[in-house]
Amino acid sequence: FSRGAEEISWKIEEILEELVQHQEPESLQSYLEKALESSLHPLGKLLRALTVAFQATYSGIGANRHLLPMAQEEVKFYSKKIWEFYQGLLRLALERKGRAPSVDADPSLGKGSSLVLPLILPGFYPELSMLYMLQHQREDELYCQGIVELSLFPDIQLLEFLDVQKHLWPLKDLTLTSNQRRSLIKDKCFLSATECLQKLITTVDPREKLEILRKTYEELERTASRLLGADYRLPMDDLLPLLMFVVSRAKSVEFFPPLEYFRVEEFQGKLLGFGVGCVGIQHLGAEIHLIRDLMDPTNQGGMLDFLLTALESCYEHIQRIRLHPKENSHSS
Amino acid sequence: MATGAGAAAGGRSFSFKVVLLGEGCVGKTSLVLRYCENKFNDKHITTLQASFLTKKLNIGGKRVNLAIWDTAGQERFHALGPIYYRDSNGAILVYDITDEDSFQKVKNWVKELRKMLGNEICLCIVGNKIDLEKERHVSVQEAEMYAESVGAKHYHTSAKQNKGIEELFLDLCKRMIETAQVDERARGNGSSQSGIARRGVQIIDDEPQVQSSGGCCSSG
Repeated sequence: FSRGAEEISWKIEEILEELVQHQEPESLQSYLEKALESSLHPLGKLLRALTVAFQATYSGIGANRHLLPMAQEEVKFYSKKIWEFYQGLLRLALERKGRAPSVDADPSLGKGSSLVLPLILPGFYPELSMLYMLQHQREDELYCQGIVELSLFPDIQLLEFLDVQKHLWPLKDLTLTSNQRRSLIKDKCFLSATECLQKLITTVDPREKLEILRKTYEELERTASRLLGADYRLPMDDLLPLLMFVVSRAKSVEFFPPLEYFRVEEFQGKLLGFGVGCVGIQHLGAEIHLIRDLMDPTNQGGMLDFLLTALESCYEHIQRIRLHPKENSHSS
Repeated sequence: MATGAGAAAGGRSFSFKVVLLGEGCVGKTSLVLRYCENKFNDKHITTLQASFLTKKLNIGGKRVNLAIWDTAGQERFHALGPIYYRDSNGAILVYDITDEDSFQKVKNWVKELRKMLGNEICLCIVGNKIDLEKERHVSVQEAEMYAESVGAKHYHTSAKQNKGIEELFLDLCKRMIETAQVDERARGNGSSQSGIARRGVQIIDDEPQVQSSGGCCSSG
């Protein structure tokens, strides 16, 4: 018995020692990552308990869109508390060594929690993203209908429909085989940007999602610059139609997170229930709002916020597109 | 509304979001490019463009980070405006002094901005292309009176001759700082961050929360 207790206290000593050694920004992130994954580390234990409580709250009857604001604030609050807990541990470790805690601890507090958030998000993601999907289900359906209509257009017709300026049409990219007509070709223009945007749902980390968006934008500018033979930065009047083109052409390559990611069977049922048959990026509305709510607040007003807003406006615009009005499908 | 303002209030540093509005050919991008990068190109179709630009300023020891968001001028994107305006601290509404229609458009945007954002947002109405004074179609008096009537400031600029642009942005920044400071004082000393934290605190006890919000579930 006593040996067991000794072993644990020795481990805590070791943990505190490690804390002191990993204070630099570069090693801190990977240290926190490991600590949060460990079942022995106090941070890992804390995260495990929070995750279990969160899952119990927001699965089953808790999977209700009205609970989204709470769930979302809760995850952010956890990231803040875990960071505070880490700082407390660090202070303890430093005190034990007879060293004064670093002075600049307080102003970096906000920054610290935005470092923690992406690390803890995977554990909360299934329930949280489910709530986002439920919240934006109706808009996502309208968006899907718009995408379906746009997907019927060949490339040239779509460029025309979206009012993309003629000098930005990548006609050279439309390579033809002998029995093809240029006017019928599909999925050939702005391919590099489209392929980039498709990756949006392959990660749960808001930082990585925003980075994918930035790369998509850069690919668009690269294509435009190639066409014009000069460095070209897209003004909004060009960017919006082009982004619209890319959003209409993007496809969900695979469903990620994979279905088994959603542990609870009931979730799988709900997910299969909607979004089926949609081309385009699935649940784009849910995606956009999740990114906006969980991104690092220092992004607000900046380039990445701007690009996310541009994507959101494409999403809104596509919902309004009705080329072939059907009979009234909304009876209520 | 202005959550972008005074992000680091303690350090006398401000981050402002400014939206840029105006019809296609009024020269709104030229104006901002001239200011942020001191570049100008006279050709009709020019590769000199941008949709997002930033500028750092220092006004009386206060550091200002300015983020300028371009908007699409086409009518069919009009409904998307509010997505761009939200949380902006300022708006620059540009018209071409030789084009009466472009001034009418500015009036429409002013109405919309005031409706969406109230008086929180600092409005600048800008008559661009004063190098074409001979072809003027919007009278100075009319424009200035209109601006005053809606609580906006009016400026005369020429992106081509680099006239009036520095003043425009400097003035706008000063007004935004003032608004942000008034806003801060009104909210007490708490920064915007503590506001978020306070909301978060309500959620600490997850069990009572689930109970209390049970009522709202039935409303949907």
